[in-house]
Amino acid sequence: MSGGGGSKPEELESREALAQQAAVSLQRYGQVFVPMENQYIQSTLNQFSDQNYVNAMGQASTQATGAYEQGMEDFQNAAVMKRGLDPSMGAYQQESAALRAAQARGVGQAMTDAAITNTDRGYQGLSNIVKMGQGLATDAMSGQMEVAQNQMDRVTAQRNQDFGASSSLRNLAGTVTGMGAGSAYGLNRNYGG
Amino acid sequence: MFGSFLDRLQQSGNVNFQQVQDFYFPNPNDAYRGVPTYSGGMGNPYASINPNRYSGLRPEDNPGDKLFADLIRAQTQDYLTRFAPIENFLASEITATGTKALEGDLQRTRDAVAQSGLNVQGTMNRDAARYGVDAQTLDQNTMTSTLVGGLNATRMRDSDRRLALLGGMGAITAKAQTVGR
Repeated sequence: MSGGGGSKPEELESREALAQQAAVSLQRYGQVFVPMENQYIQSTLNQFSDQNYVNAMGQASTQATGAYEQGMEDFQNAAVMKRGLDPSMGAYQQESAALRAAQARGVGQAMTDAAITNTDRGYQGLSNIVKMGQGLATDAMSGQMEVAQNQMDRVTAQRNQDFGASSSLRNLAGTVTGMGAGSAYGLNRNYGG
Repeated sequence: MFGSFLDRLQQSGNVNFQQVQDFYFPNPNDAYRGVPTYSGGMGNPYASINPNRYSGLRPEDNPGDKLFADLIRAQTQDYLTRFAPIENFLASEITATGTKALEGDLQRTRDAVAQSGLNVQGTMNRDAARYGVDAQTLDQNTMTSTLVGGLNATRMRDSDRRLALLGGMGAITAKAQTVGR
């Protein structure tokens, strides 16, 4: 550089105000939403607890058993009242055994599905947490890119100011040689004659 | 309950004893893992932010940029502290064929079918006692096919789950690549 002594560019007052606004927002996020997010994280992890599986499977078993027991009751009433069957009869026992086997299969499948769904929900919750975090990461990265761009803008402004203050370059501007030099420093647009 | 089925399976020569053993009775330590250990923090990462920290600086010292930089650092730290451990855990759960939850789900499927069979057998015994007839035995073929079908369904669900996780985890790459464009 050749003796140019321009002062540093001043930051707009609104920029600090914007930063303060963002800071207050983040403070509130930390006070209000971070504890809620932490609760969500802990609840999601608890989804994988053995007790949670026991509860889910137990509830499924109760519901499925209730449905099948109602069906068995209907069968017994129909068999005894309408068909005149007796529980000691082979026809009754055969049909009853088949329905009980269906009950065992149905209840087992319901319990299995409840357990697998519990695992699915756990992973789904963790995926949601990852997405929450990725939003944060993207914000932070955007911020870093913004800072880098601002830094570049400042450097560019400073460079132009420095070269603009150079009388040698200013004198050259407007001549063929000067246009070449000006182009080389990007001065033809801002400071060229 | 399934002894005869297993014997026939092994006698068929298509699978060896260890394969049958691993499929139906895997290591129980892999099955019941409990709540995953969370290594992340639970504090408030934004507690130390002070909006007026740089208010005394001159405009040419860029107080706004400095404050923005503080905010970005706090966000990054928050991400690393609370969310990155979850990402790491989720990524580590994915296996070549499914997820690490498979063993647990398979064990619970076995438990569910066996428990259901026992409960219904108990009901059948009580019914028989009430009517004064001989108790019947629950159809073992039905229970065996229920178990095999349940185990197959469990594996398929786990495979689907793996794909869903792989799809969900990929979003950050695309986002990170487009930042600043």
